[in-house]
Amino acid sequence: MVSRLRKVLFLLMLVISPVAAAKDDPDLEMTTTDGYRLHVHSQMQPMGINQIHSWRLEISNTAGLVSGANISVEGGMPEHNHGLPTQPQVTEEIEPGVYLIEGIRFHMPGSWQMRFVIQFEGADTEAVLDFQL
Amino acid sequence: MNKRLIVSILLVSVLGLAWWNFFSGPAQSNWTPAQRQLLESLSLSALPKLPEDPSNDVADLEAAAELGHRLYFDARLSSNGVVSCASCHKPELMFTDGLPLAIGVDIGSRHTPSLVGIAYSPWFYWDGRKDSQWAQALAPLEARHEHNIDRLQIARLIFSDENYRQRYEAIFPALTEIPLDPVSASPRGNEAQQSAWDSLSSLQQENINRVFTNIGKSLAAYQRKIIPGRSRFDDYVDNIPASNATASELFSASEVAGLALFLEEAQCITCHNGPLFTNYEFHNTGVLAVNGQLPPMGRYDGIRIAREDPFNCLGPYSDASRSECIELRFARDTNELVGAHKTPTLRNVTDTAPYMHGGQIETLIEVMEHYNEAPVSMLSHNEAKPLGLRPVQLRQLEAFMHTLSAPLASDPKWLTPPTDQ
Repeated sequence: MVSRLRKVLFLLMLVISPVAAAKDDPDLEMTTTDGYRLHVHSQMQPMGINQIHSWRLEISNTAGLVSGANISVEGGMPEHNHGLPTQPQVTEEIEPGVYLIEGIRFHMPGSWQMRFVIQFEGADTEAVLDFQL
Repeated sequence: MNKRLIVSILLVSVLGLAWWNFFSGPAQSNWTPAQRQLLESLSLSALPKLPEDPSNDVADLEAAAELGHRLYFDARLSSNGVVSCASCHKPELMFTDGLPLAIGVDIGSRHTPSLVGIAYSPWFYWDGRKDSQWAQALAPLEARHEHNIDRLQIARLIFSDENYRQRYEAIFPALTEIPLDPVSASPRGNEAQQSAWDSLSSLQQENINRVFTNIGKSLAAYQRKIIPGRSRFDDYVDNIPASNATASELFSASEVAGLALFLEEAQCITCHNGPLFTNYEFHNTGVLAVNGQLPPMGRYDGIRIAREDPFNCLGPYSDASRSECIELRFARDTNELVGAHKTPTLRNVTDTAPYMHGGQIETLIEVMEHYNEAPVSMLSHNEAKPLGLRPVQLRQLEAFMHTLSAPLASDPKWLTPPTDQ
């Protein structure tokens, strides 16, 4: 576990589109500095507040789709110093490299951040997605 | 010379005080596109259709609402024969009671919340201890300070009253004989009631629980009919011109200023958002505990109670599949929720004083003062920050709140007892 933790590589990721017009567009995208590309498709269209819903998260890297990864999800509003009202989880890999995240609900308008830790092939990558609701 | 100086100082002080209390700066003449988007998100025109309740198969069945309507106004559902749901959730007071703490058979420990639009909420009670409207409806019936009756007596009433029995059996499976002895029994009652409950066979217990939950589901079907009506605020927002001008014959300058504060400086919209002016979530806002009570743990305990509730979405009396119980399965339970209580709707807020979970604050202007001050919380931390608003601004916010009152949109037949009762 300790050696695994030593391998943990936390990189603060650059967000390609720092503030997405998430209200109208149900899709969000970002690429990390180590080449992980995340594509989110929200089941709630347009994305908004006060409704629990799921996301489809597609992950790929330079080698292709990332299948069999362990993914943890956290979210919150950094400006308000609080988290999500729910505790979303990845419940299923729907197809290779595509994961279902259930239990997402946002409860305020403003700047939101979702953080994913992707455990894959012995290394951890952190991806941060910023968007506006 | 000295006299002149003193008079000048006095004059400046009086003028300054008058400005501080009574004058605000010029109101903004146009809403920004972002503000307009927020305003439109608050209008009842943006209210989605009532969310389905997969845990209640009869939630939208008219016959169930009619049965629930009768039950709601029936004081036989209490130990003293005078308390009904309508005793505290009075239709004429927007389904509140005007009291700091609810009074049923005895005085309770919480302020009666409004039922207007409550079917949109995923959680019930100030601390969110129930995850469905039907499961919520069951608890006051057996609470000692509320109806103080029990599930066996309720099942017996449904079985023995011809009108109830016919209506019930038109919706649910036919009733089986309800035992006449013991008189009173419940797993949640006092020692004697629990002992009486244990004396029943598991089949009898199951039958009684089924009737009990179906009564809750019928009460929920009725309460889904209680929906807010369009207010002056909705008309104002829906008629903002293309120029985004704030001025309108529908709103006074003071109401416009109050609305602008609501969106910006006062940040009320952080929690009071969406067409019902609530995010249905739980927040610690530093409200003092009720006199004589310890500061409550709020949602921190509420979510734990909801998870253990046999009547929750995942329990045997729910009609939902596991995959449909997403709120319960993915609910958060962190320390952030210590002392947190549910955000109430602001629809008709001027008709529902006093305020807060214990009715601790008597008037709306005192609520504004509370948020302006944002005092230190007795338990955990106050999420709100001091606002630094002036008295005139608090009055503008209050003026805006008055624009949210309107008669309910519900069919009037639901707002009075059934005519044949």
